[in-house]
Parts: sequence; structure tokens; C-alpha cells
Amino acid sequence: MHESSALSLLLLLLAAPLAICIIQAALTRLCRPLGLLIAPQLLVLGTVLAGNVPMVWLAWRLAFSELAGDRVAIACGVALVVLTYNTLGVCYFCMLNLSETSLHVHILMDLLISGPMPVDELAARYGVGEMIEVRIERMIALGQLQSQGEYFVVRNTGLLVIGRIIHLWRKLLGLPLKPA
Amino acid sequence: MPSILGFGLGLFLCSMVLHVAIWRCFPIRNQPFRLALLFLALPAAIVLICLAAPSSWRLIPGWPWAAWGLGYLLDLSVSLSYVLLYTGLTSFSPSIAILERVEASMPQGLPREKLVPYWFTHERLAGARHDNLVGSRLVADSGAVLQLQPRGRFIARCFLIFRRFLGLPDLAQG
Repeated sequence: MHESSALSLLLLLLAAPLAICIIQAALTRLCRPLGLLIAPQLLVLGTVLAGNVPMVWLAWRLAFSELAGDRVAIACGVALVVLTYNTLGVCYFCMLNLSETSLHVHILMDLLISGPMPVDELAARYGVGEMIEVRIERMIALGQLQSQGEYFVVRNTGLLVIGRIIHLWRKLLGLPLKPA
Repeated sequence: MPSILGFGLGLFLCSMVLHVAIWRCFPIRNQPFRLALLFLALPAAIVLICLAAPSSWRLIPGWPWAAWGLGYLLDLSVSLSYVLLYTGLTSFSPSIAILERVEASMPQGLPREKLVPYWFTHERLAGARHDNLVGSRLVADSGAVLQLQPRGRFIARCFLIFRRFLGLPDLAQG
């Protein structure tokens, strides 16, 4: 592979998280006036998934076209680009999710915006009752839970499957399987 | 291309095999340091050694430096994803616990008051976070009043700039 092609691919992949960030910022501002309330996590997932098409197209234009029909090389090149791009997307998603759901980050930002806070106020503001309410609302917004009258039912089993995979991985690593 | 893909995946596989072996054979402690060593420092060291070695010693001769960069970027992106997701692996997710409780009572489901797992307590949630933040010197607890320390202020500002750039409210709902 030529150095210039490898360098173009490298720069393309390095620019991908920035592109995802700019597209998300644009879509968020576009959705608001239209009255579309989409959870930021879903917006990023959609952006990353849809981004696979332009990424592979650009990679083809920049590097793969010179591989002159070597199918194995092209397949490996596509796999490399898709894998790197999507895992960079996962990293970006984790950063966004941290700013959305992490209690550590929430407390830090609350202190930055509201100023110093008595410990009692922290306990009141982040009480179990309030946190469970917010979490249930988020799970409904993300399509994981559904309210049927006074009862809640599972709407999407995706997170449950992830939970089972996590359980198996914890077993493999020898980590505790239940909270102490 | 096949060799670049193989090199990147091989680096990650090496880190993963060592990770499983160390976690199973030794007491689990100082996890962030060990993860950073295995998934970030070790592959970087291997790449640097490969680049510094005389070309006749190299396992894969004739690669331009950008090809090494592509291989390492693949390993780095997969490794970073794993390290970031590892936090979710070690800390028990309340959302998954809630869904497991609801699933166990399907098709009827569960009323709101029965959704909360037994370990969803103040000590494990805000209490544990308070202790972590004070312990890592991001926040100072002086006279029962919490105040940001310079490092904590820096992290909070980075997230604030990020959220404002995205057009999201300063403070997420939680």
C-alpha cells in the first residue's frame, strides 16, 4: 500500500469522531424547531450507523480504488475502516453517555453551575426517589420500558441481552456476579 | 491490507488474553492502572519497538509509517471502546436490574413501587459518588459543604463546553 493512501485513510479515520460531533450538533439544532424530541444517545447511534456509508465510499475513493481488484485486500481494507470507524463511534457514544447519565459528571457539573453545595442538599437533590423517577423516564424515552396502566412491561429486550453478555463476561474475568 | 488488519487485531487480542489471564490469576485491584497498561501502553510500546527496530529484524518489512499508524489506530479504537465499556461491566447497571425484575414478572409487569432493586440505596448511589469525588480530589468537602477543586472544575468545564457545542442543555436530566 502506498504511503499517501495509508496516510489519507489514517486522516479520514482520525477526523471521523469530529465529523460525528459536528453532525450531531447540527441535527440537535435542526430537530428542536421541528419539535422532534430524540434522545441524544439515539441520535448519535443513528449518526454513527448512517456514517458507515460515506466512510466506506470515501475510503474507496482515497485508497481502495488503487488496489486494482485484489478482492482479499479490498475486503480487509473495508473491514479495517468499518471496525475502526465504528469503535471510534462507540468511544464518542461513551463520552456523550457519560455527560448524560454519569452521576459523577452530573455532580461535578451541578457544582460548576450552582456553586458550592451543602452535603445535605446533595443527598436531597440526588435522593433515590428522584433518581429512580428520572431513570424510568429515560428508559421509557429510549424504548426500553413501557407503561401499561399502573404496571411497567419490557418493550425492547436489547438491554437485557447486553445484561446477559455482561454477566458471562464477569464470570470469565472472575468478577462478582451480584452487588455486595 | 490483510497484514495491517491482522496486526491491529493481533495487538488487541494480545492485550485481551493478558487481561483475562491477569484478572483470573491475581487479586483484582487498581483496575484503571492495569487496564491502561495492558490496553494502551503495551500496544504503543510494541509499535514503537517495531518502528525502531532495524528493517532487517522487522516481522513486517516495507510498511510505510502511516500503515503502522492505521494498525495501531485500529487497536487503539477497539481498546478504548473496551476500556470505556469496562466501567459498565464492573458497576452494576440499575437500568439492567430494573429490566430483569420486570422481565421476571412478565407478561403482567411490575408496578412502579416494585421496580427498584434492593441495592439501589443512597449509600451506593450519591453517597458512593461523593466519596469517590472527594477521594480523587475532584471535590473538597470542607465543613459539610462541597466545593469543586481545580481538576474537578477543569473536567466539568470540558463537559460543559462539549454539551453547549452539541446544543444540549447544560445539565442533563440524569
